[in-house]
Parts: sequence; C-alpha cells; structure tokens
Amino acid sequence: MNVAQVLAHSMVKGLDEFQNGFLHPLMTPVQLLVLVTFGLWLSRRRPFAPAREVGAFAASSALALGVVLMFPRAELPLLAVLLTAMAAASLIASGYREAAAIRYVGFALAGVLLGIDSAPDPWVSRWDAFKMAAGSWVGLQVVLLCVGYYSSLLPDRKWAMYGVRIVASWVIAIAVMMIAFLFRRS
Amino acid sequence: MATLTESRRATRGWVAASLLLSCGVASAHSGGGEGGGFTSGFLHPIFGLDHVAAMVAVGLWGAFLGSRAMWLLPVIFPVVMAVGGALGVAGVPIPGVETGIALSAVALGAMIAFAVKPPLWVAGVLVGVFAIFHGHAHGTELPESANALAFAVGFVISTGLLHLCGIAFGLLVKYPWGKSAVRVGGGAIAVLGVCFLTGAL
Repeated sequence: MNVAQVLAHSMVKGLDEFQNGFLHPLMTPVQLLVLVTFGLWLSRRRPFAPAREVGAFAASSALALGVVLMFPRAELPLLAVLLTAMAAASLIASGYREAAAIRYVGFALAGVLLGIDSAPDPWVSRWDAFKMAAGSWVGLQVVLLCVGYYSSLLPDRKWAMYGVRIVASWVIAIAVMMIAFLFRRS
Repeated sequence: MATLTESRRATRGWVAASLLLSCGVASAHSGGGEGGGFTSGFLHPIFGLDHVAAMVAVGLWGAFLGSRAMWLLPVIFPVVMAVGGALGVAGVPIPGVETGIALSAVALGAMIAFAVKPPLWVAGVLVGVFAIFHGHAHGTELPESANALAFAVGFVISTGLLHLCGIAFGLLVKYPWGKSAVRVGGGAIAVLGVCFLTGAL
C-alpha cells in the first residue's frame, strides 16, 4: 500500500501548463474530496449565496499559490488536508448551524491547504510554473462552485438533506481510513 | 428514403454491436491503480453475504424506525465502520470479528422482524458497535496492492449503497402490506445471520 501512489499524477500530454493546472484538482483525489466536501458545505445556505465563502477560498488559495511559486519546495502534510475535510464533513453530517465566522475561516483554511497542495513541480521554468499555478487556481474555484451550485439545486426536501448528510458521513469515513493508511505507512 | 433509414439503422446496429464486442478488450485490466483499488473496495462488502445482510438491515431498520433514524443510522454506520477499519489497518486485534458480523445480521434482522423500536440512541449505539466488526474485517482484509484512497472510496460508497437498498425496501412500511413485507425481510436477514453464526453458510 502506497499512499503516495494515491497522490501521484503526471502531466497530461498534449495540454499546456495552464490546462494541466486546471485539471489538477480533478486529477488529485484528495483535493477532489476536499472540494466536494466544501461544495456541499457551500450549498447548505439557503438561498444560495456563496460570495463570501468563495471569496475567502479564492483569496487564500491565490495567496498560498503565490507563496509556493516563491518557495517551490513547500510541502503539505496530507494529514492536515484530511483533517480539514473531516471537520467540514462533520459539521454537515451533524447538521450543526455554525457561525458565519467559522465558515469563512474554514473556507480560507481549505484555500490555503489546496493552494499549497497545488504547488507546481520545482523543476519547471518560472513562467510555466506561473501558468500551471494560474490554471490550478481557476480549476479549484470552478470545481468548488460547480459542486456548490449543483448541490444547491437539490430540492428543499428532507430526503435531499438526509442525502447530503449521508454523503458527508462517507467523506468522514474515507478520511478516517486514509489517516489510518498514512500512519501505517509511516 | 426507407432504404436509407434502414441502412442507418443497420449501421447503428453494427456500431452498437462492435462497441459491445470491444468492451471485453477495454475492460481487461490487471486490477491495479486507482480503478483497481476502487473496484476492489467497492466489491469487498458486496462479495460477503454476511456484510450485505447486515448493511441492508441497517437501512431497513432505519426506515422502519422513522424519519430521524433513516438518516442517522446510515451516517453512524460508515463513520464507526471506518474507525473499525482503521483499527484493522493498524493491526489492533478485536476478538470475535466474524461472530460479531454474524450477530449483527441476527440482531438487526430480529429487531425488524419483531418490530422493536428502541430509543434512537440505543439504535445508534447498537449499529455503531456492529459497525466496528464490519470495519475491522475490511481493514484487515485490505489487499496490499490496493490504492488506499480509491479502496476507501469504493468500500464506503458500496456500504452506503447497500444501506440505501435497505432504506428503499424499508420505505414500504407506509403501506399496510409493506410493513409485513419489511418484517418478513428482517426475519430472513436474522435467519441468514443464524446460518452464518452456525457455519451453515
């Protein structure tokens, strides 16, 4: 069992750096897990008004990507990403009505973590790294907004609310298993 | 015109047939990688009849107990199951795992068959305790070559879908005949559990 194997992904041939960066969140399962969780979290507010949360996420992910462009060897512990996804999923699954500040901090934290996790490879040129980081940033926002928007289209019915909570519990379970794999590996 | 339409239909038929025939080649894989990990994880609960019986019973009992239990039990089960899985991955031994799994089918099936409606927290604790055994079995039987995340995603989704099957069946309690059908289903699960317990299956 190799957890690194889960995260490893190579550039898609035939696509430029921006396009590869754009696809990065979709090709990194852990990032996708976080984005789905935060997208579900985003959709819980009725009416759907994601501006502030997405703003916090966009600003912090841009900042983090800027930092990793300057320090390309910055590494992120996978545990932090999994714990963040787990915390957000716990809030969704429990149906807890959190304060707005908690939501903003959560989205900002997720932005920082995914921004660092999207660091371009250190051996690419500065310009290519910038294009890749820009693509990753756009990809992160698009995936988050898409999951949030399409989840918000679910009808305001009990079964939809239960479904979202059940999916959130799956995220918790996946994160718990991943953490176990991490510790076994280390 | 008619000939042209027939010709198009024939072409479509051939294309469809060719695609179907080519599936055998396309699906051939070694079972490694993320797809293999997902498939392996997804099939793991399904290939164990004892797991299937217990997980369907969780959904069935949830639907039988009512609105809150219907979502609470399928939320509790995968989370606690993952904790059990983590213990299995870490190599922490739990005695009587197979007995616990068989007992889960007996107990949950009997609860449905006898229409037992305990307080929600009792149902949650009972389901949680049994989930530990199921998770531990998955964790210890995890193939070394599997992709960790893909395996976890596969087996959690598969478990959730089995719960949904139980819930879907359990929703029949709305009808007078449905209640009897659900109780009979619970009884069948309990009987299966007894067979697992005695080694008859």
